[in-house]
Amino acid sequence: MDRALRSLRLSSPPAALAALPGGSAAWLLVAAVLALVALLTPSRPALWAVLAWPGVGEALLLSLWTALASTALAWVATGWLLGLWELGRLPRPGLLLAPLLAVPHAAFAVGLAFLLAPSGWLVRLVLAPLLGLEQPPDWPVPGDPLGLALILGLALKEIPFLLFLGLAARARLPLAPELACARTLGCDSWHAYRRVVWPQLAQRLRLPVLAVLAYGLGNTDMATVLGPDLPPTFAVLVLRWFLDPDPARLELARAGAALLLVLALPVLAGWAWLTEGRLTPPRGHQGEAAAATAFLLLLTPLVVLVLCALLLWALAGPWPFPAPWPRWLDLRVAARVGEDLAAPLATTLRLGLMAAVLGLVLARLLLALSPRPRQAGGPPLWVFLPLLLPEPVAALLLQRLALALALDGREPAVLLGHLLYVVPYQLLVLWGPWRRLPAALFEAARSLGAGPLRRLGRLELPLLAPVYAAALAVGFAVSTAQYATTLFLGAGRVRTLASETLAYAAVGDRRLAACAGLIATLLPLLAFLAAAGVRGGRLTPAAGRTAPRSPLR
Amino acid sequence: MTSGFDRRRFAAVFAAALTAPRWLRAAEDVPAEIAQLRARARGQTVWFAAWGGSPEINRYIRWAGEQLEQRFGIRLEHIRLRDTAEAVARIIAEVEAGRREDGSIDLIWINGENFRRLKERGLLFGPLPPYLSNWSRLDLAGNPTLTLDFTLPTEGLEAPWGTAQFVFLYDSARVPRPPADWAALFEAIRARPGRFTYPQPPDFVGSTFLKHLLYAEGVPRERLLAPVDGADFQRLAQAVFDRLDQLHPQMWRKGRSFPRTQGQLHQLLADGEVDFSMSFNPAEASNLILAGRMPATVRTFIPREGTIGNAHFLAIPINAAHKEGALVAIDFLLSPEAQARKADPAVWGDGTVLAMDRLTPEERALFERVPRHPATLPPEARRPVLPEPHPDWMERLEQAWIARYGRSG
Repeated sequence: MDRALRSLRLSSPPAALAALPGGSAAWLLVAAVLALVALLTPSRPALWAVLAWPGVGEALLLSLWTALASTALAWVATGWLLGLWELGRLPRPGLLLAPLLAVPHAAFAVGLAFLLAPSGWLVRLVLAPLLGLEQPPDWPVPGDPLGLALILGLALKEIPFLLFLGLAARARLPLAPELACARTLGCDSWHAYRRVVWPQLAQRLRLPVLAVLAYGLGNTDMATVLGPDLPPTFAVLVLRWFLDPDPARLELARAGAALLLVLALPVLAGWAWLTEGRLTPPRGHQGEAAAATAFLLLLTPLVVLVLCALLLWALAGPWPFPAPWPRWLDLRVAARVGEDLAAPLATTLRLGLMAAVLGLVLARLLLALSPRPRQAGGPPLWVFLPLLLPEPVAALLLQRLALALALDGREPAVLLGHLLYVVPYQLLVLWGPWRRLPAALFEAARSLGAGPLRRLGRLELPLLAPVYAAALAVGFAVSTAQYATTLFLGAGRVRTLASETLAYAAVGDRRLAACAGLIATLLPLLAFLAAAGVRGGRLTPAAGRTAPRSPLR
Repeated sequence: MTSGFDRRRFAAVFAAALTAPRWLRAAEDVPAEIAQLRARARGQTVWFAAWGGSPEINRYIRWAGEQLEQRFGIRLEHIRLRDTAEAVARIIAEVEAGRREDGSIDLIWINGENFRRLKERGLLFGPLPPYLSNWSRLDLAGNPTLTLDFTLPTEGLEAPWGTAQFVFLYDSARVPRPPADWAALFEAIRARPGRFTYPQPPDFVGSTFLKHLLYAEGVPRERLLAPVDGADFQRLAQAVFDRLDQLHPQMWRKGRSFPRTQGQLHQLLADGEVDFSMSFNPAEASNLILAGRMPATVRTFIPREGTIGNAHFLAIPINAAHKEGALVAIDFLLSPEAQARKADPAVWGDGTVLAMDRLTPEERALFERVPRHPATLPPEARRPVLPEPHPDWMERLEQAWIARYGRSG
């Protein structure tokens, strides 16, 4: 599994913005955004209605603040953690990252909410015995007005993602000479990491961190569970307008999405510009390093506790406050899953498998059609573009398309939405290994008369089998975790495990919410496991020199 | 199957059926016309738009679907609504867009202002009674809410499905003696800061709590049963908002945020974060205890002044694509077997709409076998039952609440 995960590596610098001359890239982006805003066609009255909505200013500020704060937190923590690994002060995370990547945002949010609530597990385990609490304190958590619970949740969920990409990028950075040089210049090893390794990693993580920021601005799943209400974040407002029984509110949702898009562009650009070279890990004075280590050592158990809380609630019988454990485990859970979750489970599997396979075909076609980059580089900006759109924006754009095709509220429309996120991630997996396929081998095959299909079937597929398997698993995982696209494009009628997790949380059935979240975590984990078992084809020794190193080796 | 429904032909057939004495016989021995209806319904898929906020109710609907499939070859697809207004908006939009034949909703669970909106626009199919073999067993004489939905005459455009009455839930392990009347409840809220809240309107239980405040603050009943305009509402409802202004600082999270649904309020009670919850189903507490979602010490109470009782209904949109299937589904849902199962607190615990004296002894036995759970108050302990105010009140209360405390959608 570890190897399958490792194959999702950003092979080389995604210096995509740099690939185009600065000015033209910016103009291209502005034009693209204007085109998208036009596609959303907000009417002027609707825009005014959005701006006049009670609490909309607070909602916008809340979205900005939670997105920026959580991204900064995740970014700095990633810098620290990668440094601690670089110096060998922490064991490498290995398998631990897999469940953290596999758990959908919705499920993670439900687990964290139970952990942090006044009647939650942390209070029961720590405070209640200490203070002899008989009833929970009246704290406004989760859902605190400053959005701190949401910030914590977003950061905790994004740190593993950035770490994973960071570790993968580090593995491909041959920095030994530079590090040796830094040491001879008298840098201690932390200093060398800050000055030599981190800047390179930071550059490779630039687009992923923008994707994290865009997710923070547009997320509706975590913000519904962990964020405040009255008002909620702006993205949640857009979702509520969209789902409102009053059809006039749909216009508000479109106008809101356009506003979110216009807001997101300067925020993303500002982040990229302002954090360039800043937000580095601390200098590593003794105190700072100790504080950082302590902070991280606190976060890790928190994340593990979230998963345990999900597992426990999925099986819990009565569990009154302040009992630290459920009175007993209720094994009717199997029956409940069979009865209540069978249909969403089937839908999740169907959508996930179709999205993974169709996405792979699309990604492979896009690879073949994309021009060879001038320099050997990572995936260009266009691969990332869907990930840089806040979710309600992308979903509402697609919803318009689905409406035109009379597909809205049906599974094909939802599949379309999932593909928008599945294909970019699959491209990320395929990009490096596919580019490194030995051209000479394929030339030779062609000169021997092998057609394109034969070359694909006899050379590429066996050579890249582990990579394709990893891409399928990643595609399946991304589809399983989709919440906003499922809701917007399915009009609430297409139910998957991710959407059911939050639906059950909304009606106060924490056990079913936990069950749905847990299954939605296990499915992608199984997919990763299965992908890790796929072996690549072997070439004869004669071809050995040109054969690519499989990314899984 | 999307065959159009030949209304004229059916009307003629059923006019004859109405006069036939065998009409009143048991369901198994149905008139030829009903049998014909069932034959035409076979193979249809009925899209049932129903609030999906309770896993227990969803399970019951799934059971009904299985029965319909086995007995009548009808598939029942539950469209789970967060708010019934969603489906109402959809029906109105479809008809306005000229979709008059093959609407996407065949059957809808409805009452109150949602019924009014569809009825006023003439968007309901019916009258239904001629098509339903079980109509004659309804307790229409004994229960006026079965024909008066939030003061509006149903005129056979919806079939009563179940009865409801508002109750409060409390944990007897934390609150030994429940408040006896409204004044005592307000006192309990003040005396136990942070231990009471209500679902945020427009959640219907939250809105119903507000309607009770109208009664509690002494708005005359005859005013509540009549339509109300903005100025009158503002004057008469002022006391309710004064009361809320006064109570909110004593509530959970100081009244700055509220659970979004009644389900979340139940969860808060189960977690011990609050001492009270509320429900529109007197047996819901029992149902939740039996499902393991509530402590076994939870009980229910109603203030001495009484609480609002109402009924909920099934109706067929005028543009339903599968009216025959929907009619057969309603008829089954009104059968003693389906109603008795629904009344079981281990299943749902919803009050029946059937008159016991119109059932055969075997059918009555089905209901007598339903166990009474200690968390469910017997009917005689639930008096007086107050009537639902006119739908105007609910709409204005919700709007005023959101304008005053909402700041969100």
